[in-house]
Amino acid sequence: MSDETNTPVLEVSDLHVSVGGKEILKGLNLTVGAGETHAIMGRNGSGKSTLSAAIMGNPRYEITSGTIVYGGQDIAELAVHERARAGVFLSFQYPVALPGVSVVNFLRQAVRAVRGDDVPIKAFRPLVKENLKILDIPQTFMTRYVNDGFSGGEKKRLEMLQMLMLQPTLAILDETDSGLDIDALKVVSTAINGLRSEKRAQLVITHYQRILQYVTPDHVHVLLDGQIVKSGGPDLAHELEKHGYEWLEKDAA
Amino acid sequence: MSTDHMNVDAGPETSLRDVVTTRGGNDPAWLATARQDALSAYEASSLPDRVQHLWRYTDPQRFLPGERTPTTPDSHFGDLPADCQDATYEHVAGYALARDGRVLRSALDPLIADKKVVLTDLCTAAREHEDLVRPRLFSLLDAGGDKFEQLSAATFAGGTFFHVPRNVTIDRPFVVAHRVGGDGLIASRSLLVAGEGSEATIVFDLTSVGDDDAPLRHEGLEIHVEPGARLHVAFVQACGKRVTHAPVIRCRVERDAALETVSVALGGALVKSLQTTELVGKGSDVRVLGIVFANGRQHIDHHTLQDHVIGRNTSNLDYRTVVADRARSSYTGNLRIGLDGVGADAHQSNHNMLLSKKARADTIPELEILTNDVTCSHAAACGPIDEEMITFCQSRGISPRDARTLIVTGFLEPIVERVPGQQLRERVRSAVADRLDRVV
Repeated sequence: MSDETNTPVLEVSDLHVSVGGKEILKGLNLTVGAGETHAIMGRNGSGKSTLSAAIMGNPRYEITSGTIVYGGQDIAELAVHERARAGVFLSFQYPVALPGVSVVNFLRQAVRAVRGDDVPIKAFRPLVKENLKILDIPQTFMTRYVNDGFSGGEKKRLEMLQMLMLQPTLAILDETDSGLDIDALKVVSTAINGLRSEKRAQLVITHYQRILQYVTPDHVHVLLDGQIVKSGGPDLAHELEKHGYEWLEKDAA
Repeated sequence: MSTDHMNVDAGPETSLRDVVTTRGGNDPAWLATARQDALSAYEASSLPDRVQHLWRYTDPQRFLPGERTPTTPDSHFGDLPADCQDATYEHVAGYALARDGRVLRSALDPLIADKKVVLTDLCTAAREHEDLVRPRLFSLLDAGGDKFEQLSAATFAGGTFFHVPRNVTIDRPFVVAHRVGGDGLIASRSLLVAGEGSEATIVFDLTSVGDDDAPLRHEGLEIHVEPGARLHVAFVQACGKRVTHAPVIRCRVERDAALETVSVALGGALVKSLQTTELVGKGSDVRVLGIVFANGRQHIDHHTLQDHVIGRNTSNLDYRTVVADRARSSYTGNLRIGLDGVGADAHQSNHNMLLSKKARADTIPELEILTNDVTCSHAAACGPIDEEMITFCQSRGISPRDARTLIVTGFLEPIVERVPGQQLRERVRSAVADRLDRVV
């Protein structure tokens, strides 16, 4: 990453992404500065998850043109794990189960991979304990297999636990709020807010403004048919709630 | 078919008869006669029919002794495995050291020996504990006479005899460490008996002396779990890559008894394993667990049968296979619920992970249900590692190679963690890790 404080954390320019030959993102532009939290809203199928997968580098998502610049560097050539090691984190909408892989083992490997150095067990344990407390997760979680037989809410809490352990520079939260009851939503929001800092940035992807009551964004963008059609402040989320996406569809047309 | 192979085997068959007579010379008369009968049955039987599932994927010819002659067991075991050095019996209840089919030495925690637990060589037991051995030995052999089972019954050099008396409960495992060498025929017979209401764990740790040793190993085991007993047995086979191994395991589980077997197959060039379990009483619980991890050109074939002769009991089978390089695994399994099997609750599952395009896994789980009112299921799957799992791990900074290792280890772990004895379990884990290091 560049040392210059005014370098944006993320700069997406004219991004076109196809999945299985079908174009989903059609020239998307987005700049996220350090210390900022951006919300991306849009209905199902608008391209929200495609954007997060493309930033993370999932090979199933093909970038046909445009660039993704992270910390001043074009990351097109970086594999998924290299992006993660550079500080990008994606909280998945549908986290994958890893049967037989315990949460504690997985976290240890992830922390070691991202830090590039083993964390002594003495330092690792209290760190886990502290984060479990923030997320209101019982200790018994640690010996369970990653996402295997987890409820929707448990999966999202585990995603947040991974985020807190990895302390990413750019955290992308893909519908982390969906399927959460109000208590879980508050816990998850606390985790996200706790990570906000001058050097970090967050991209909260959602189709409800519900989570934005707890995580106040600096900027709100509306994604429609693969492009950002409107950007604004936190008030935009409220307007959307009031008028629905159709209001913007008319505008766009 | 039988005539053909009899001609091929004409020479060595003569020497087999000599060996059977010699080995029977130290046995009580009833056992010497049983050996001769088994040899006659072996000679009279034809090779197994390859149309049947049992031998569909593996050529039985390769298990005939041919030019090989029975190996005279070496009397030297070599370095002791770590768990057999536990002089204070803190982690193990006792151990036996076996070479080439014969138990050379055994030792028990004196407190456990006081409870009349027996762990010794089968031939010794036949002389010293006729009352325990004679009524049970060979009683579970396939009446139809599995050819190779008859071969081990005729020519066995020895084997493990393990008996836990009624109502004796032992919390630590017994370990049988067995090394095989040379390139001859190594035959053994073992008999395990968990007496009524008893509880015990025994682990078989099978290795070969050197990587170049290439014996043909015919091993027969009979396991009796008497009413209300609980027995946990593990077989960890980590022989060299030139060994041919053909275990036949026959289990009989009586009412309210529990048997859990865990089989780990890592070694051998060619392995053909058969395990059958008869549930002959109500209230029993059987778990048949296994992993296979093959690479190079290994060929590993497992067949299992859980036979609910009587119902109102449960059986669960879980076999997991990982094949890499050009290795091949075949799994065929049958779940049979007999006419009196009402209320049986029986499940079997076989999952296979393919780590290369040239690796191959076959799986055929079958159900044979002769009565109503039972709960049965079977599941089988074959495929490569799910790419989404790898991407998920990568998104947490883990390299694709480390991700594959993590996923395969996790796939096997629920079975590995059922291997009793911490040292053996850790050895299995590190053997799996070593192999993964070479193949992912």
